[in-house]
Formats: sequence, structure tokens, C-alpha cells
Amino acid sequence: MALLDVADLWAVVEAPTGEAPAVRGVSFALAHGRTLGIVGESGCGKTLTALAIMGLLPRGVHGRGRIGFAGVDLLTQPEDTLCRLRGQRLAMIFQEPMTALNPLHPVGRQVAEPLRIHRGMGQAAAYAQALRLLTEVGLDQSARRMSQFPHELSGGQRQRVMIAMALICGPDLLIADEPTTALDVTVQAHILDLVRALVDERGMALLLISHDLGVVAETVAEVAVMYRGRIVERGPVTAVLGQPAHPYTQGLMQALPRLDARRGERHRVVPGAVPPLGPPEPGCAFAARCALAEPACRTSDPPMAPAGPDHTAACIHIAAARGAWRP
Amino acid sequence: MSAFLVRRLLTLAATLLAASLVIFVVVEVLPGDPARTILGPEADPEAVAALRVRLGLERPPAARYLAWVGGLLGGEFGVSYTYHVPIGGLLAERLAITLPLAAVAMALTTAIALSAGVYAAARRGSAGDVAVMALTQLGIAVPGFWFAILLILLFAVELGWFPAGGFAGWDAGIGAALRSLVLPAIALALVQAAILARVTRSAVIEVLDEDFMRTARAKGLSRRAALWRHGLRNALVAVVTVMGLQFANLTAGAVVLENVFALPGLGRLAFQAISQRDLQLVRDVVLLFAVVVVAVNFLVDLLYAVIDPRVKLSA
Ligand SMILES: Nc1ncnc2c1ncn2[C@@H]1O[C@H](COP(=O)(O)OP(=O)(O)OP(=O)(O)O)[C@@H](O)[C@H]1O
Ligand code: SF4
Ligand SMILES: [Mg+2]
Repeated sequence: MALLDVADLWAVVEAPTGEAPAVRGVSFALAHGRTLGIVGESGCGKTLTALAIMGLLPRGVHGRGRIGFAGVDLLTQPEDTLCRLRGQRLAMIFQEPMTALNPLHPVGRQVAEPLRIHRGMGQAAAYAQALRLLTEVGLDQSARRMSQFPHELSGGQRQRVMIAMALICGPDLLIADEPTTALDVTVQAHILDLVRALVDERGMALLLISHDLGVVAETVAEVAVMYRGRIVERGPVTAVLGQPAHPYTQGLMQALPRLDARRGERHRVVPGAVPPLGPPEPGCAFAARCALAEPACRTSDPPMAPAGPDHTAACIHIAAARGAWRP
Repeated sequence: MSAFLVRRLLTLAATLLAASLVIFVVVEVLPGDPARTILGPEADPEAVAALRVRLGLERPPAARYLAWVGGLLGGEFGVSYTYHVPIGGLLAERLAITLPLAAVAMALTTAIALSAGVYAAARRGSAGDVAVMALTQLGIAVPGFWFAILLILLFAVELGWFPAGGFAGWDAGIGAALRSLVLPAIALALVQAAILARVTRSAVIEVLDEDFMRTARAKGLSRRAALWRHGLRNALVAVVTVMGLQFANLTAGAVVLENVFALPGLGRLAFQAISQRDLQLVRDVVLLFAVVVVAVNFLVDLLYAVIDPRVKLSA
């Protein structure tokens, strides 16, 4: 049985103009110890998907569907059950290490806090374990830093603190939402290496969210591509990024800066912009930007169809789309 | 002592110096001649002139300013020419009423405002929130002396729980003395509490939307526990700022309410000194108010440093 089994998940934003679904029927499964990436442009619903799993959707956003976690549906669990799971079996690292830590508490206290909440540990024991973990995640001078405050740390150091805080209770599932986006490139690489190593070592499942295909390709085994609240393509990283079947994934791949790009050549982006949130409309979500769109695309929702071994995509012309894609 | 403290103390001294100058100049331009006030409108002009010399009113302003400030620094307050007692003792006696009144009022303000503000913020948009906001609106709109009259009618005249006015004196025992302060303190506190409750509510709402509050929930804290352990202290920075400002308002409110409740505090003294043109007393009383307000703001600055570890660096 999968550890995480998300089925037909919707996240609906209540707006003065009516309801706008930001996540529209997302389904995926993640087994113990496996890694899955979610990629997509800004605003496609990646963060809301993650927050729905955590049960921490912002005010005015409602989750519907089913989020199976270790056999129970998180969406129907009472709040105190969710509190016991969060921080203990389900943990999350956020994008902004600058603001995600409490500015008024020393970092050691913040890292030790989950142990005190879930294990009822005393301060000394919890702090000792926090210090060990901070050292393990490579925070330099960790003993001294235990009593420092977030503003005394660099972005990379804060993200190491966040990672230690998320891992301290040994969760089964780690959700990392753009964990390196706010960091500069060299620090990014260190943090990704660290996450990869820790996930391997501890056998956690990892749900990595990023708009950066490079980050995803290096870190996870499987990937789901989201567009306007839906998963449009899913499969092993090598297949999805190597032979993308959906025109949107192809567009994302072509937008990647290439090592062999001629100097001065501007790297391409997927043409057009993501349309704003609105009520659901029939047909393929990508039709407005798709070069292959035809009338049939606009009448019914293309279902996920096989595009290779373990590889599926939601496009009525998977074969034609393949043909249109040139590496 | 840290550089932060030294700097704050220097600012404090400069503020008081500036305050003393302003007070001196304002009192100087107040209409009316103290000598004539003392001797009465029918007095002989020569007697008035002689008294002016005796009171030192004929010396140049700069000399009088220096004599005043120099005296204060030496602990010499002079003698009130309407009360015929040393001003130092008079001030101390009155301060022993006004300071406890302000402290009780501030404590009430804080207790009411924090509970109402946090309650409303935690239930943003609910009926309870709307009710709290409506009550605070009312509290801000209604003047303090009006509350005072209502309180007197209800709790003193009707129920007889508290005296309608006057001060039992500290000699009558702490209980009796505090009883005479309860109604004025409530009347003082209600307006300030209404303001502070609104400030607290918006500060807490702002903090609830912070990323670190989401982190706290992601650790497994309930909404309530996250608010207590991570939210409140962060919201307190804004609340404490306003509390410092409110203390100045409270002392101003005390002038009015001490008169309504016939409490012989500093406010009443200030009022009487002004109406009797006891200029030396006016200056000292007003400067004492300034000292209290400045000292409270100094305490607020120290509180910032206690609440927020980032303050020490930026100061
Ligand atoms: N609290 C909220 N209230 C209303 N709308 C929201 C809220 N949070 C997100 N949205 C909307 O939902 C959509 C999906 O947002 P989400 O944050 O999940 O995107 P994302 O894929 O994580 O994007 P990014 O890469 O920018 O983080 C966006 O259109 C966003 O404007
Ligand atoms: S279904 Fe049609 S519009 Fe959608 S991606 Fe495929 S070809 Fe394009
Ligand atoms: Mg996001």
C-alpha cells in the first residue's frame, strides 16, 4: 500500500466572484521511501497541493477529494489527529527560510520543539538531540548556533535549520516546497545534496516541489507535471524529461537554459502566460497556449493515457505531440 | 552598560531638557500676574510690585529658567505661594494617588485589551469578533468622563459598592484607598482598552498570517498552541508601542477624571495651580508629567529589547 495516496484532490479558492479551483482533481501515489517531484510554472497549484496534504490550507481555500496517508483519509481526520501526524510522521520544509522561522526564538529551541510536542521530551534531552541533528545537517559551529536567532544566520544556514526541524521526529514523508529557490546557486546544490542524502539514509518518502526541472531531475525518481491545477504528465524522471509526451512539458524543457546554448541566445519560455484563476471550463487546460490545439481539445477533458512504461500524459495527441517535439 | 542603554539615557535627558524649556516658555506667556492673583484685584500697585520682586518675577527670563532648573536638579522645588507648603512634598503626596491610579488603569487596560483583542483575532469574522469590534467602537466614541458619570450612578449611587468620589487616603488602609481608585481607574481604562484591543487584534491577525506561524502548525502545534507559543510575543511588539503612547493619554485623562471624582491627585493639582496662577507649581507639575511619560517610554524601549532579540543590533 502506498504511504501517500492522493485521489481527485481539489483545492478551491473562495473569491468574492465565486469559487475558483486552484487544484483540480490531482491524483498521485507515493510509496514508502520513494521520491516524487511536482513541477510546473508559478501559480499552477503546487504549494496548495502540499498544504492540502499537511492540512494547512490558508483561510478561504478548501480541500476536497481524498488524501490517503498510511491508510487514513487526512481530509476527514479531526484536527487533533492531524496535529499528532504533523511534525511527527508528516513534515514540511518551506520555500522562504527568511520568514519561516520564528524571529524571537533561538534556533535550537525551534529545532527541538517537535520532540517536546510529540515525544514529551524534557528540554535537555530535546536540545541534545537537536544539536546532534544540526551537526548532522552540516550547520557549522552548531553548538554556538543553538542559542543564536534566525537573523544571525545566512539563508543556507536557516534552511539547514528548517531541514533539521522537519526531520527531528523521523517523519515518513517529507514535503519540500521549493526548498532551494531562495538560495544562491552554490548553496542550492549543497542543500539538495543534503536532502538527497538524508532521504536515502532514512528511507523517507520525499515530495519535492519545484518549478526548476534541473532540481527535480537531480533529486527525485518520479515526476508529475502540473498545469493550472492538474497533473498533465507523470512518470519516471528519465522518461518524462527525456521524452516528454505533453506539449506543456515539452515547452518547459525547451525553456530550460542549455549548456550548449550559443552566447547571447535568449532562452525560450513556454509561449503565452498562465491564464488567471477562474471557474472550471471544459476541455484541455493547456488549449489556450498549445500549438497543437484543435476543436476537440476544447470540448472534453483529455484523460491520462499511456505514453510509455509507467508514463502517462493527458493529451489527445500523445503520438502527434511526440512528433512535434524536437530535442 | 550597553551602548543601547547609554544612548537611550542621553535621549531621555535631552527630551526632558527640551520639555523644561517648552514648559517654561508656555508658562511665561500665560496671561495673568501671579502677584496680582495672590494679592487680589483691589491690591495697591506698589504692594504688587514689591511682591513681584520678592517672587523673583522681575529678573530676566534666562536667569529665572536657570534658577528653576538648577533648583530642581538640587532637589529644591521651592514653596507654593497658594498652598504655602514646600512643592516637593506636595508633589510626592499627589503622586501617591495619581501613580497608583494610572498603574491600576494601565493594568486594567492591558488585561481587557489583550483578552478581547486576541479573542477577536483568533475568531476573525465570527460573531464574537464583530461584537468585540462594535464594543471597542463604542468605547472609543464615548468620552471617559461620561463613562465616569455612568459608573458613579450605577456603582456608587445605585449599588453603593464604591465611593462616588474623594480619596480615603493611604492611612485608611490599602483596601479603602484602592476602593476609591476603582471607578476612576475603570473609567480611565475603558477608552484606552478599546483602542488597545483594536491594536492587539490587528497585530495578532498580522502575526497569524506570518510564515513562521505556518511552520509552527507544521510542527504539530494546534492553532491555539501556535498562537500562544509563537504568535503572542511577536504581536506584543506593536502592542507595547501603543501602550507606551497610551500611558501619556492616561495621565492626561487623569487630569479630567481626578476632577470628576474629586481625587486629590496630580491632575487635580495641575488644574488648581493653573486656575490660581501658581506658576511655579504649574511648571513643576507639568514637568513631573513629562518625567513620568518619558520614563514610561524609556521602559517601553527596554521592553522591546527584552521581547525582540533583533533590537539590540539595530539600536
Ligand atoms: N491564500 C490564497 N488565497 C487565494 N488564492 C490563493 C491562495 N494561495 C494561493 N492562491 C492561488 O492559487 C493558485 C495556486 O497557488 P500555489 O501557491 O499553489 O501555486 P504554486 O504552484 O505553488 O506557485 P509558485 O511557484 O508561485 O509557488 C494561484 O493562482 C494563487 O494565486
Ligand atoms: S489536448 Fe490538445 S490542447 Fe491539450 S495539450 Fe494536447 S493537443 Fe494541446
Ligand atoms: Mg508555491
